[in-house]
Amino acid sequence: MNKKDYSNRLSDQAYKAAEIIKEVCEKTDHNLLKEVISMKEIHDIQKVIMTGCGDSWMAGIATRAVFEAVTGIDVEVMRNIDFTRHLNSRFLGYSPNTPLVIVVSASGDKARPTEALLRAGKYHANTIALTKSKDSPCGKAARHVFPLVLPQGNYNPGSNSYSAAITSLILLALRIGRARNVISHNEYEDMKKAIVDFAEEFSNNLEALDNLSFDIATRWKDLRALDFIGDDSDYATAQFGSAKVLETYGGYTTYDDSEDWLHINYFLSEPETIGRVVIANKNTPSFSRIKETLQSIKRIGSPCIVITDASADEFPDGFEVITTPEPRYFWLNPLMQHYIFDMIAGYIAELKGTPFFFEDKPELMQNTAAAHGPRLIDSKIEII
Amino acid sequence: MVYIEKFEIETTKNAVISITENVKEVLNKSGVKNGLLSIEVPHSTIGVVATTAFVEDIRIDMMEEVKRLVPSRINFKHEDTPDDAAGHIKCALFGTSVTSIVKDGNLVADGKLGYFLMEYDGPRKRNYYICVLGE
Repeated sequence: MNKKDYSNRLSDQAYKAAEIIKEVCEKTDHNLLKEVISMKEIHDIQKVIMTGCGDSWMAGIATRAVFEAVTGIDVEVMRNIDFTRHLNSRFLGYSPNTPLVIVVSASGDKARPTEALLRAGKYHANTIALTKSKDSPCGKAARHVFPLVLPQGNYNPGSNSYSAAITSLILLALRIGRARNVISHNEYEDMKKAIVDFAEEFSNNLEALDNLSFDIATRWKDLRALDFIGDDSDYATAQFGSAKVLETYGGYTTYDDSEDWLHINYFLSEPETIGRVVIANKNTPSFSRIKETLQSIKRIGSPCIVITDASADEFPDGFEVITTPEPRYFWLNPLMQHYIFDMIAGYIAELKGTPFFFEDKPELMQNTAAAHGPRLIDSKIEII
Repeated sequence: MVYIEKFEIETTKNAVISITENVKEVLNKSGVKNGLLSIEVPHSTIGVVATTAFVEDIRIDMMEEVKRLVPSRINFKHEDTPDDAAGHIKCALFGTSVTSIVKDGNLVADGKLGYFLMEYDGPRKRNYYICVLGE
């Protein structure tokens, strides 16, 4: 089997990742960040709420740890529906320019993120829309727009737009952290450089990781389901991988953290037919717990790959360990590690001959489906 | 003759760093007996001052007083960080260079004045130059 015959939009994106991340870093310069949020607004922040749907929500999960580390500000990540319809309004606008509500929406045209911005505005919270266009509904609803750099062409599922969103959020966090003097000038400069360095080092190792991904895809394509495990910011990588199973070949999938997995997903029947993907980075505070979880996976006999920045020696025998380059800051791992499973999912879809999303059923792909009821764009906006 | 030496350091936040021994060493190395010695920091948020070499508390007082005179505020037009903006002003007010007279191979203030870098921001990688000019 020739890997090149199965190349796809996800494997293509992995090879362009470093380029787009570098572009985001170059375009998100000091002047742009000053326009996104002023010094006074930065010092008014008492809390940050990041919210989004799907990949955009995951971008918040992926960056919560770095946001808190470099800004010293409490950060909560919420799904759009929780923010718009269920969050008590007393937690919005209780002090000038706080909380800072960051809404991530690549297209900016969906109803729920627009609703989030309008609701935050109603209660006088400060808002930033990380989105591609200031003229989009999200762009118009936000107090500030942080332009999201997106790759050109049809790149859906958008693994590079996900990395672009993560990069942008990290750069915003660094700006806030520097302005509040939580990080020094040297740390600020080094952290910015570390983003590009990590993307480039990952890219330099991509050919080998790509070959491995294709090999795993050929062995895993017929598994009954795939189950992803990751904690904290690595939970985003787990969830993103699980989403790719659905978006590419519509397979059965689930995801959880290392603790709850032992309470729930452990009991899935016929474990030998379920592939387990574990994100286990050595500097995550729950690394020891993840290693315990791996012992349970071994006991029930599931095929398992471990995606990690640690060496294979850290793990018991019997696991397929994929070691990715170690970033200078552990919170950078979610920026690149998702590409491993993106490539696997893309190859499985190609090997199965399954179109991504419902691309063979265009009527089901429409975001506004008058015949079937509102979907993503024309959902009714309600400000509660 | 002219003798120039460059030094690199890593500062801590709002540190006051004595460079008096380096100054004396450079003067000795230069061989200059009569002339001028100049210290300059090629940055805009770290300065250099000459003050008493003996009273350590005055270094703390100096930095604290400078901070009171030019407090870090969030409404400077220059929006990098409040400390950075204030640091630029402190440097402009209190200087980034010091010049002393050399006579008979010694600084005329030798034994009285010490030389100190005043880090108005930090921690940062910094460098400074000492130049001796004379014969």
